[in-house]
Amino acid sequence: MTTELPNYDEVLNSLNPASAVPMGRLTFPYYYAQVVGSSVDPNRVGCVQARVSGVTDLWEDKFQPWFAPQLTTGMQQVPQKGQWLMVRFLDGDINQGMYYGVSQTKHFLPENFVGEYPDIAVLNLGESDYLYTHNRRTHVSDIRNPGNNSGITWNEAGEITVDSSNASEEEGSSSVSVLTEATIDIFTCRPVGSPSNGVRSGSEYLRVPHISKATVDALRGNGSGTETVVKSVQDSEADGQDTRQLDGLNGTYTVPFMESPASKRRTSKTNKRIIIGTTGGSPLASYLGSVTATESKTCVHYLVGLGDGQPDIISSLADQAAAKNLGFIQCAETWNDGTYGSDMTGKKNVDAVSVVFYGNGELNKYQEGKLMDIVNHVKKAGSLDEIEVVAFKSMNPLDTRNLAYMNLSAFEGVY
Amino acid sequence: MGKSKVGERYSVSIGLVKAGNDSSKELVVYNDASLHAFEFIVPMNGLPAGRTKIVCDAGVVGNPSSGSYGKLFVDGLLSGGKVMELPIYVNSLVRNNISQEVVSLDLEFTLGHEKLQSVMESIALEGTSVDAVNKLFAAQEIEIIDDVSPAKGSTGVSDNMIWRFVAGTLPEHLLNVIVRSSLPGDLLYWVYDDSALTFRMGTFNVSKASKHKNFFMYTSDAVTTTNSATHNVKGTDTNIWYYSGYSPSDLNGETREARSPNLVIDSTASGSAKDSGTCSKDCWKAVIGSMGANEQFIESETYGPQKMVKPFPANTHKTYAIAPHVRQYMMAEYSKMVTLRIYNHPGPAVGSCVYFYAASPKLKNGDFLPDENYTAKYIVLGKKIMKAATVNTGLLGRERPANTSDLVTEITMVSNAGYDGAKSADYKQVTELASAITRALAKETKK
Repeated sequence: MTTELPNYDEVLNSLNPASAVPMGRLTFPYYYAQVVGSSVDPNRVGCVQARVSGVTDLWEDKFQPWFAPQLTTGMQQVPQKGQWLMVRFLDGDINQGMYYGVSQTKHFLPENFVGEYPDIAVLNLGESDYLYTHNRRTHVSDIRNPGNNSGITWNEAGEITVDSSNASEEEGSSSVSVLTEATIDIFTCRPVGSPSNGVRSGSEYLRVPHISKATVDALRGNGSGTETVVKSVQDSEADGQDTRQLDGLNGTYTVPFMESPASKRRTSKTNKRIIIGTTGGSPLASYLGSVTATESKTCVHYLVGLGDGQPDIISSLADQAAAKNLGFIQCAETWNDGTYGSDMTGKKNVDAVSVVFYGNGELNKYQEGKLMDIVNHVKKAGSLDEIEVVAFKSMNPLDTRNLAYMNLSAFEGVY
Repeated sequence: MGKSKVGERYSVSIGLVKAGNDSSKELVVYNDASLHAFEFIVPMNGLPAGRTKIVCDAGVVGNPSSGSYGKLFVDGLLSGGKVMELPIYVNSLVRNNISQEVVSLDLEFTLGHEKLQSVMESIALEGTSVDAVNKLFAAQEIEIIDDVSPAKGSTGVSDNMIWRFVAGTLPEHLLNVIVRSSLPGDLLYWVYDDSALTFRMGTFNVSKASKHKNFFMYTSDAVTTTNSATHNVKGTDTNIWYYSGYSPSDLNGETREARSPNLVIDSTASGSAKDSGTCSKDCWKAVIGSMGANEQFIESETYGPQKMVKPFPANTHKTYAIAPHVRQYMMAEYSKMVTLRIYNHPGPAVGSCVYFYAASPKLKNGDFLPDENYTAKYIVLGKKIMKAATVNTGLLGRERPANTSDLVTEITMVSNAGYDGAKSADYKQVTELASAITRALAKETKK
């Protein structure tokens, strides 16, 4: 007889795993899942257990599926309980999930990501809320470590500050600026730190240009207090002094350079003005000392005495009276900003070069010549056609410096 | 042996909701004569499904629609004159107007148990694959016949894990478990048992070791000696299904009714008997090679190096990733296949074991000898119940008598007994049982 062979494909297909693609699959490109429990992947390959939103919401933690990490060339970390994952599933199989995205915090996104939106970039460093952030508007970068309550800030001026609530207040500031200052016991000249963490990094960058003999004697127990100055090692080595070039009206020459720590670093700057002022009668050496002191808050670019020479060493009132106030010193790079004048608004110091003359405003020929040299130098260095010169005037009308302003105003104008 | 019982019939009819009104539950029943074609497939690991073409008077038909429920009636199957009723779910129904008075309905349906059609919430269960199947049925409050139970300990089910199911239907969840189940040397299955009208879970090995036996027995005088489709040998758990040849309709009598009122078996040996039971090494290599694996772990008892399942350590059992391929490998062993046609009887249940005494053309003392290749124990893999159409036998230019009310059940059986069947334990068991049955029947006849 002729019997047509039955087609049993349908029957056999039900037994053929390759063609058996049951429904109940998770086939969307991605799902959100939140890490649960504290189970540790026995293979230590980064798997975590997570609750899949809209799918396993009602399941007990122990029933939640495990997810394997999708490898990355970026930072590999094991997500913590509460952190959110973006997941997908091989063959849509809930038992074969993989995560390929991890939220920065348990709250999905850090607060300042929203608050500073859209200027802030955030990178999680392997622990919930341990974040590296960078604000492209303020140019401030920051690392906050919640585990040890400390952080590092790299501010708009390029300064790096380390702060920690673990630091002992008795031993120094909890906030330390790296490269510009450090916590130093001024009596022992030894850097200090917290009992647990020891000396903070950055201490080795401390610059102490001069140590008085009295301090040295005090350290040695001599106690005589003779007021002479002992040059620091750095200064002794630098008898070939640090200098900068100045493009004067009659040619280029060098100017001694003693940097003020209050100088504000800039990445790009176009000078728009030159601010001129006076020492208000203070000796040139005193003013130089205040500008270059480690905790100085005043910075001027140039300091001009009455003539060529070195600033006098001032150690007593008698010295002050006899001082000749000679010298021409540069204290800041012209491409950085100064902080001249405590009541000068910060904005005026921005994009400006400040020049302070010894005296009360009556400039001698030497000082006038240096002013014109500086004007020429700033214009040439910045390829400027012209630049404005303004005299510093105190905001307080009773301030005697306003008298100096009256004299210096004669030099105001566009050059 | 008893005499032939003439005229026993099985018939099907379909009831569909009238006027698309589910709430009334009023059915329009389309009887056997209205069903111009009928096909009902009972697969392993899937829901039974079917299709039919109903031709009827336009005035009779209501306005049935896809998505409604109805009933499939099978008359003459159950004892005591009861009519078997199966709920059906209408997957699609297309109405064609043949004329103003006559319409045809093309109907496709699946088994309509409501709890099988509804989408279940996502759930997670803990245990072995056998436990998971049990719990899934329990979650839908559906009773099953659990054939695995007696052998739970002996099968060494070791696929303990948390089984997770996202929203889907029960059959989908069940298939998820089946595909990922891992029973050493065995295959788990579930099926709708159309003889018990409920669900069954079992394994191939448990089926083969079952105390109850379906015996397809060759006998040259099957036509005249049977009075029923099956015959239970007294004092045994053996149910005998007689057949008298591969092409009985051409050799015996002029009409089907005269030949065998209840049972005729047409058998077609197919599949690759040579390869049955031999899927090891090269076969296994081919299966496993499709996964991009190398030879190093072909002989591995755990089916591969740990790295294959390592990414999901706590999610699954250790052979989860490879389990579908292991099933494929084991199914490849069951490559000896026989297709039988049984007339006017639904035949043994899918998943059950059949002792098949295949007759060879060789004669001994006027009787057929067992076919050494195909005499073995088989597992019923699936079946298709059809309404018979007129069949041209191709012999003597004579057409087989048309009897459009005949129901034909095609069953597909597979075996993993080797090609050299005479040496296999299966062959020995089947032939010994055949002898025992012959002796028992002889005693019955004497009484």
